Amino acid sequence: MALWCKHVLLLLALVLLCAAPAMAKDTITVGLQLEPPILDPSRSADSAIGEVVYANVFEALTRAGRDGSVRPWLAASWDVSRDGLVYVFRLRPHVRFHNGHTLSAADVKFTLDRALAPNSINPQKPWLQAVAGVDVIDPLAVRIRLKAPDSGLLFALSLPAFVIFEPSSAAAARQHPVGTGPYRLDVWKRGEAIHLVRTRDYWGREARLPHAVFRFIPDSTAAYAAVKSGDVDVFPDFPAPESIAQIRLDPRLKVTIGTTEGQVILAINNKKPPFDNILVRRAIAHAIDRNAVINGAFYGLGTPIGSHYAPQDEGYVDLTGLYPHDIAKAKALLAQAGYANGFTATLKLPPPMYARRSGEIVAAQLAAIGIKLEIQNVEWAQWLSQVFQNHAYDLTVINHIEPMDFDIYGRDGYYFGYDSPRFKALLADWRSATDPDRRVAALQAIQRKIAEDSVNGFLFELPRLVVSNARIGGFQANAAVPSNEVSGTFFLDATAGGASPAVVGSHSAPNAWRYLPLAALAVFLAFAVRTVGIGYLAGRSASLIATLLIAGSAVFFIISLLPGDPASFMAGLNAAPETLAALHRQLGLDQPLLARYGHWLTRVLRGDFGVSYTYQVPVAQLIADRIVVSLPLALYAVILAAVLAIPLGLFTAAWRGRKRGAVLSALTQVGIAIPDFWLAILFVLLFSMVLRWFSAGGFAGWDGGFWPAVHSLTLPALALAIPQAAILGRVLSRSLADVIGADFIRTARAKGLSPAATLWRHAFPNAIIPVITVLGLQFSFLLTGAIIIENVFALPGLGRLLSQAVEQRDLIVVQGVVVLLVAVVVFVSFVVDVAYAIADPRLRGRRQ
Amino acid sequence: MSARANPALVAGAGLVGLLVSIALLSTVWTPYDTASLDVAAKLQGPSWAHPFGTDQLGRDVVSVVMLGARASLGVALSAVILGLGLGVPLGLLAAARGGVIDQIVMRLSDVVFAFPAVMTAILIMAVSGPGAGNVILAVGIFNIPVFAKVTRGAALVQWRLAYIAAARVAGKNTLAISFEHILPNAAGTIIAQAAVQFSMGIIAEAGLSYIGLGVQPPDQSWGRLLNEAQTLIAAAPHLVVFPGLAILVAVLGFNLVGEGLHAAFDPRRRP
Repeated sequence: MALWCKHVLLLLALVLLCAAPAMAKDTITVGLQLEPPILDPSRSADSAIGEVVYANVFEALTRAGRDGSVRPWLAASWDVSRDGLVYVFRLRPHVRFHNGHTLSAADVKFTLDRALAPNSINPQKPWLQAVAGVDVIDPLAVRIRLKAPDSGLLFALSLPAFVIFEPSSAAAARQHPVGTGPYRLDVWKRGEAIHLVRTRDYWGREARLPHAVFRFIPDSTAAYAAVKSGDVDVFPDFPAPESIAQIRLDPRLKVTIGTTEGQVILAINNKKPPFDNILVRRAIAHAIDRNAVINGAFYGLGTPIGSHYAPQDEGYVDLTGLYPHDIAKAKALLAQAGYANGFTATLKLPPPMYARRSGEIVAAQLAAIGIKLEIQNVEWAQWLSQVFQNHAYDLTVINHIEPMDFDIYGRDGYYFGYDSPRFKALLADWRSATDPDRRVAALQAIQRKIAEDSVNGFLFELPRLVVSNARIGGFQANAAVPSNEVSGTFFLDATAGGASPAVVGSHSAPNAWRYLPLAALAVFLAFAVRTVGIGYLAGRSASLIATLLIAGSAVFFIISLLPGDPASFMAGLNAAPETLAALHRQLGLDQPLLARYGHWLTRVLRGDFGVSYTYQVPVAQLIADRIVVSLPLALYAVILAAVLAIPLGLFTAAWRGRKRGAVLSALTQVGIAIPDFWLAILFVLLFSMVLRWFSAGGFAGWDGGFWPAVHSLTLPALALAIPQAAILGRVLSRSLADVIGADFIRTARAKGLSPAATLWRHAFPNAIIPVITVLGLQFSFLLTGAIIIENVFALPGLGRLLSQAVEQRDLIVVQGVVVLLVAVVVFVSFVVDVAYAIADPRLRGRRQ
Repeated sequence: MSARANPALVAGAGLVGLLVSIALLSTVWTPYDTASLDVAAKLQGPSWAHPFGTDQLGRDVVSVVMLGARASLGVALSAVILGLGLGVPLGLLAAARGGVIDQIVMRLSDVVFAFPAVMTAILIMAVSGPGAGNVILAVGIFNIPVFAKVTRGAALVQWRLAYIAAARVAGKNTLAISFEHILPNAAGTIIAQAAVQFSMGIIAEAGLSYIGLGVQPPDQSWGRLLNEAQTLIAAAPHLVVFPGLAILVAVLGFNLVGEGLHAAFDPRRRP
């Protein structure tokens, strides 16, 4: 009893804390579209990792400026030998890692040796191809020896993939990053947010705000709502260019158009006829109207480019005038190449909006010169395996986000299929140019060569749309590498206090009710044994287990057939083949199928679903984190559906044969036909955008209190519930209609009971049984149907986990989630069957 | 049967007829050509020239929604045919043979039922990529046990009747009885179920296209239109309205037809 009281008090306290007025702003909240899978940038190419940890948690030896120039960071200075083959870096003294360890040359050697090792899975390893070895000279001096001069080395050392680790903490850095930065990791709430907290003894200038929160908002509508409502202070990569014009009208918000290192290109398969013909490629270049592409795909917010090079980078040459938009010229070139009547080809488009929209516009532009493109939208997994790995494509639109990545044009077997000895010579010139003037000359020659050979269609430089609270200052929007440095950020009118916010870190409340379903199940089973007998129950249980086993095995084999290699996702566009092989071994993907099946089955039976490929945490934990969203959502929707359905059914039955009744049945029919996800979008439009009663997406989290969480589930639950309530209401009114014809109702009426009282007291209790059955079946429908609704509201539930895992080819997570959902469906139908048998003794004899 | 006797069937048939005519019309004519884009005229609200407005690429939404009817009806029809083609024979077989075969068919149906259609679709898309064909496959697979169970149930009722015994005595074999006597008499129930599965197919296609796994461009689909409209909800709310209404009308039409047929074939339901 005392324990029970404690929980209630705790819950009350939580609710009160949430209701308390906002405290002095000492936290910067950054909105990001993508959540990093892990927090170790040396183990995955996912740029979302650097977006959170780079410059905040982890730091590198050097730091690249907006123009690609390099300045000292953890290395205070360096000397380069005359032949360019030996670099000596002098480290800053008194630099502390978050675990108290002091930075020394040994840590640098450890970090670089780890990246260079044969089994290294570092996604940017090719940048260090010239490195011969790393030596410790003294605790604050380290020497890097090169096989050949490499003018890119200093820049490479600024990349997130080469941030400095401390040996004892490096292995666990995927979940527990320990760096030298001004912030350290406080807590990571998967699917929601990462909280950083300021460190005490940072070597440089201390961060101005004690807390930084990175919130993940994948949906662009929700992102718009989040900046409008002030839920986030800055959204550095705002995903909705179409809303920028409206945001600019809001004086509370500030829009900054920053730069990225991303070139959006129409990549061309240079090996495949007719694209091996330079005339055809040049014809395509003349046919493209960059401004129309930028206007249509990015609302005019991009910079046209003429080569594979970012306009803000060192030595940029504007080559956009090389192939002006000229349809006549393009047609002439095409005719000269022997394609006077044009030809057909395919255009494969990956999921991002910039690619899909640019692709549709480019297809329309090329149609004007007779090149008819068949558009194929592909998922990331397919894009990587078909286009990137197997080169099975004609044209594709893609953003190459890596900084200074023109060296891919000199790489053998790269997916462009471009092979030019002259270009490789230019690359070698650039690498060996240690003198700045020679380097700029080499960079310019590289840009020209790529443009002259018209290797790809160059569309535009992707802008960085930074939407922020007008009151913040000091946020670094432009960065040579994708990152969000928050240590200099402050609020203009706030006295950033030292008071740390009340961190509500209690997980005990949700834990307590985790046992509730188990207790309910135990009671149900005990009751079932008493009423329907152990024999019936055993028979049904045996068939339950058989179904589960067959379905589970089916899931395993279907998923093992999935094309698309999970390893290639983690390794990214810049990975070397040996990196992929190392990753395969690490994930156990080099084992035969049947061995993996046996292994999987024995583990699943023990409740172990394996370890996620991308998140590197147990799948069971991921599911546990997500099910606290999906399960309450489904329950909430079922309750709402029942609450709405009962009056609906009663009134329809009571008004049978009258005009009001007919109107109600017609409305019910419409309710059944409404697609729930459309209703959800309409709700967002009405309740979030116009009335602003609810947020357009995202989940408040149970840690923040019961009511805020319920509030954030209300719109999705209502959208799910309304069509189901209509179905349920009809079942109830039908069932009532059947009961009303029965003798005992006539008796009740004959006794003088009013029609309403008869309906409520006698008919309703008898008609409710089929309703409960349908309700049970709807529960499993709602749990899986939420897959689509969770996408509308960007809720971190099982459905989103499933679709993300499919996209990232995190097959082990897909397996876990699907097996779980299948188990729930099978189990619920088992419970419904047993409940039916309890309610209706006649069914007990009909065993299977 | 007069309209008064079965208003649901008449109203449903009207809506379905309208949709089918629009889908057929769209193969030869739409108000505007949707292949050529007019980016300058993008995101216009409803007007006389464009009653549903224009989308983010300047296409006429009336034309695009008309084209969407094709995908919607085509996918749902194919999935129903797949379900009928395999489910009905399985149901007839299970009813005719009973015993072990009946058990196997019903247990396999349970296994398939354990996979919700949306999830099956996501798995199939993950194997072989998004596309209308895969939506048909996913929904069709889900339809098979539905039709198998409905057919089995209706067939079992028939098998108990005297005229079947007469046919047996006349020397007809099980196969002949199943197709010549059982199927025609179970057809009403099966057709009514087909209308319900048709509307489920429309919703499934729209939902899967909405999350990007269904119909792919250049083909249009109502679900995909909603997906694209959602990111533009602040700038152009009209884009959300019309594709959703189209789905609503289609689902409503087939539900009403299903209801009307049920009523027509089930004497208890006749008013």
